[in-house]
Amino acid sequence: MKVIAAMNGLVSSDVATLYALRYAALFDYTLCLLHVLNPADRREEVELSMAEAEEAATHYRVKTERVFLTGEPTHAIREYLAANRTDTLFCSTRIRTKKRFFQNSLSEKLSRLSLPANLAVVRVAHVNAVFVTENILLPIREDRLSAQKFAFFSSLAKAFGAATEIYSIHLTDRRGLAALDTRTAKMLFQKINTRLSHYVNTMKLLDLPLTIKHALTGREIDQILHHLARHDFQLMIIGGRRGSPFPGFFRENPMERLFWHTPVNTIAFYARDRE
Amino acid sequence: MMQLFALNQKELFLRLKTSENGLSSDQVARRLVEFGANELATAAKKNYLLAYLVQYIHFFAIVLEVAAILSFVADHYAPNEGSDILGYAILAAVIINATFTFWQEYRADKAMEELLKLMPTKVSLRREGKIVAAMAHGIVPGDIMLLEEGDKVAADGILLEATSLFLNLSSLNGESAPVARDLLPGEAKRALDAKNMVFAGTTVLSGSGVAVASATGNATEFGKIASLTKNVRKAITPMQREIIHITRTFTIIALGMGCIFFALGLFSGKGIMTASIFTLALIVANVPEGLLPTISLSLSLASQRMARRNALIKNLDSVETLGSVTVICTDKTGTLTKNEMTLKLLWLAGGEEISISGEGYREPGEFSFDQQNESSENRLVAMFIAGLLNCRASIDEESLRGDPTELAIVAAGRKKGITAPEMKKVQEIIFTSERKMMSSVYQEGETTWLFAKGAVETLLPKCTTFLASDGTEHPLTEADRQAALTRADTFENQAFRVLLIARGKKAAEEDLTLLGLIAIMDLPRHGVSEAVASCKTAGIRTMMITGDNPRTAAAIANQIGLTHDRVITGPELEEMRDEQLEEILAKETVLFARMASSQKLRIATALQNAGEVVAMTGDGVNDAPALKKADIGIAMGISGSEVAKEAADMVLLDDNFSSIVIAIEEGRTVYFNVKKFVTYVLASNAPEIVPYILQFFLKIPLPLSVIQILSIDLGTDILPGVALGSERPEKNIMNRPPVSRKEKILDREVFLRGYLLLGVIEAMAAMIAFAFFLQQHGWQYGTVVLADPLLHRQAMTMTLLGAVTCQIFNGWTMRSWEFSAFSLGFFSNRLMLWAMATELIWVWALLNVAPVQKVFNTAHVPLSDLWILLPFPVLLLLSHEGYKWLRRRKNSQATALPDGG
Repeated sequence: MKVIAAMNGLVSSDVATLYALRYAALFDYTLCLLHVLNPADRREEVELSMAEAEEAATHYRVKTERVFLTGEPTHAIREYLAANRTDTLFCSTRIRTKKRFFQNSLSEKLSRLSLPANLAVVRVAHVNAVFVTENILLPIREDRLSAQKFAFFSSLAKAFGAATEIYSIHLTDRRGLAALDTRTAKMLFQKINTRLSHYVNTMKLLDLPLTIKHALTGREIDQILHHLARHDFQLMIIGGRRGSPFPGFFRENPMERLFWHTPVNTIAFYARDRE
Repeated sequence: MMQLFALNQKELFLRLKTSENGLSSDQVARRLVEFGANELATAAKKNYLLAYLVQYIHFFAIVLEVAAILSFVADHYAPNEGSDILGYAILAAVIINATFTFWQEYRADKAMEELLKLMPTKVSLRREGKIVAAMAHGIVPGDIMLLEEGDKVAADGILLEATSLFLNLSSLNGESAPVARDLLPGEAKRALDAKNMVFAGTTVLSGSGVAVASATGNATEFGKIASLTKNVRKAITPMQREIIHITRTFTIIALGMGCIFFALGLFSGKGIMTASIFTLALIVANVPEGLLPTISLSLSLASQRMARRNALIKNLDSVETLGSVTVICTDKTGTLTKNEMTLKLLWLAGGEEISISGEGYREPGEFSFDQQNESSENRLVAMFIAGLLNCRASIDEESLRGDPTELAIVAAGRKKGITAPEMKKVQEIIFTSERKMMSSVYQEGETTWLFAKGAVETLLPKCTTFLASDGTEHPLTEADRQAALTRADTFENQAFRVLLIARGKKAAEEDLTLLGLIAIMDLPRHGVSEAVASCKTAGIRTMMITGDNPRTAAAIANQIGLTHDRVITGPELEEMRDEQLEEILAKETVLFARMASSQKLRIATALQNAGEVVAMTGDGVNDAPALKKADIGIAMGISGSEVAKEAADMVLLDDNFSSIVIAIEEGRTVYFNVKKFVTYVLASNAPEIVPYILQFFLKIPLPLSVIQILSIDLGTDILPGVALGSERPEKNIMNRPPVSRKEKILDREVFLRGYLLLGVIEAMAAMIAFAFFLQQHGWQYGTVVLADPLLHRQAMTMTLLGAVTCQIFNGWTMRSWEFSAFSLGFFSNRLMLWAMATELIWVWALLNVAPVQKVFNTAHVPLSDLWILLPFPVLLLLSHEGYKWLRRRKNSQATALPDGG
């Protein structure tokens, strides 16, 4: 089984590779350093990054391999994934700017495809955070947490030996919020805690500290950003939503908003398509 | 693995993929795409037009809009009956309501704008080995930033070079003292504590430095504060909730009644047209069209009264929220205390203790010695000279300059008439939180003098001699040191800040002569003790949040009568779980000491989670998130930063805690005034509804037209309503507990008083006046259509006058919810007198002015027919006063029972 890091020689791609490395080390998978050759390539930079990744991999006793593909990047990667059993593909992302509005990044294109592997899109806010990950946040809506996402979250937590927090957000409007008294809110939170209790038990088995916190809000992205600014997290994992092939012209996609404004490194996780 | 700030330069460059020559333009372009521009995310701009238009699709508005449309439809089928005027009047009511609600709800949030002003627009960078001027938003991680005195820092960075670099970090930690920067991080675990880091949103006070950018935009520490400020959203205010509840209740009653009578109309064979008009009339009669504008006007008047009492309200709804406040979290310095350090005690190294009277910087005072000898005065002067020559503060008639501690020394010197001699200053070694002392070096002819002041534990080890009682310098023995330390400890136990004053005869901070100790205190403000006591009586818990040590905090709290169950320090709070904190705050009054401003947000959140309504004070940039989170954020008008003022709901123009209590009293008053006004309006709904119901069931002419209903709701009721809104606080307003979240303005008692007690009397007045007049002029029961239209108009005028005259007296008796209106003083609410006079003029106009008669369908009624109106207002007045008397009696019995058995 492989873990693939899609590399392009940029700083954020190097950071994404380090996340992939820690993940691969946990399961003893081979780390595949993959690059799709293109005309505007800086191959020497990519190879330098690969060399650094290989050096880091020796420290974690992870086997690595270099793979250079050619052709249209998404097709090439898709074909490679089809031919090679892969657990997760790690890929860094970039900011969507007005200038490059119609020019989707590789990560965006991949996130819209149905892939035979999990996809982890990494947005880097702090270059060094990957070396000092102590607290990981997983925001969810109420108790909606898939087993795959939790598995990815707990694996990374185990890989880093980090403390974890599930931040459960209950959406309500301002009037609903005003009508809710403390007792009712606590009962609601208790109900969510009960539903999430099996995840808590799993984390106990993994010997990882997990806290569940709750929020009642009408604006979940703002609430998550507020929570991140208040607490000391180095990594956030969010559930990726397979987007429309057309970018939002009028309204900002919430995921993009979170990616754009996040003050911590963030991984959007897209579970593999069921075979 | 190490934090970025703990890496050596080589590793740092490797990790950030940069070098001391900086990035290339190609790298910058790519990183801009990777990390985004160095900008703080601002909130999406509000669409004010859309927000305004939304006011027209509320439940309340839709009902009125349908009523207006029905009026125009009725006018189309039966023109010249005034239905079009009615339609326009209802539309006017809709527009007025929408505009007032919009005005009340929306205001620009400028806190972010003020935060953005702390960021620079241009910066100096080193890229590809060259120094370039670049736009601040173009900085990316790995860029090399060049910092000079006066520069604003654009991104978080790690220092590569630093020459006497001092930063102002107040935007991050609230401390305005210069903070020294170094090339080593110290023992920091967090970036904020690392001494080799510079931060976005801070300023270079002196020196210069070179730093490599490690984080930009929202990922910076300043970005977190911006995010906390921007992403905090207050819950709906109690007043907004009340308005929703009131309008919903009225609308449901109106629609329910309308539907029932529409169905009854159809089944009784009145025809769809008649049934529709009838339904329309009932809806209009039930909906209090003037309610929202009057509430807005009342809040606006209250906010003006509060501004006159030094509490500037920024958000009208906050006026009423103040009435519900259950906990005040207040800063100590400047709010509870004067923020004017006063030198109260002085100890000379010779052994004398001197107490100084007079508070603050300008009051005169006397020096009292506990013992005195010939050299005491000279040594005192020597000590003051050392103090005065080693400070930058100055006091003149117009202004005060310098930090509070130094001002205290200057003020004490002025009390004694001591001024600093003219000497040439050659050097100043400034105070920093690390050094805990400052020194100044002077040259006097051949002699070099060094004057020093600072913390006892820092400065005493640098002293080798002391100025003894004989006026000469003696060696400082261990016993002498111990004596000084004991005295310092005694002062500190009394909550004084203690400084040691020393001098030396060379330019180095060593071999100094101990001159003595000074004990300084920021004394409580006048009136604060009374305000704290008033809060206690009013069921409001006051919690002090201060950066001072627990001992000082507790001493001040005791001085002002602020009782507390426990003291929690900042580090203790860090260790506490949220649930634990909430549990404590739900039951206990806590004094928070050694707190960082950033912890205020957590306290506000925990209190709100414990069900409290929180008022929180603040002045610094980093207080903004807590001010926005609290139900009432209160910024300091004098000492507050612009960011804090913009984030707050209320600004204290005098920074005084007592003004908060005054504002709370005003807030509670507004709550009860709105309650009175709603009851007043409900009472007038009864004579508007009852005539229609009676006409439906009985064979009588129409007693009141729809336009006449609107003349009450949007005409005669408005001014007395505003007058009720500006009524003074009730006598016992601060002896009641805070208004609970569950308590509603429109409660059972309001319905009972409004509809059943006062409304019934008003409906009786209106209908008896109508029937009596018709009876007097030959009408026979069963005649629905009168042959003489003038007679019908006169009869309808009697109905209208029956309601309006009762409302005049209703306004008067409603001035107090609990006490007799006669106990309030006749001239104590002049606006009410004006309102009553205006209503009387309106009555005269309805009877005598032709254009008014034409619009409102009234007619002249002879004086001989009007006497029937007289008994009802008197009956209403007596009934309500009687009701209040019974209520007071019941309350006093209930209060007496637990003690009296």
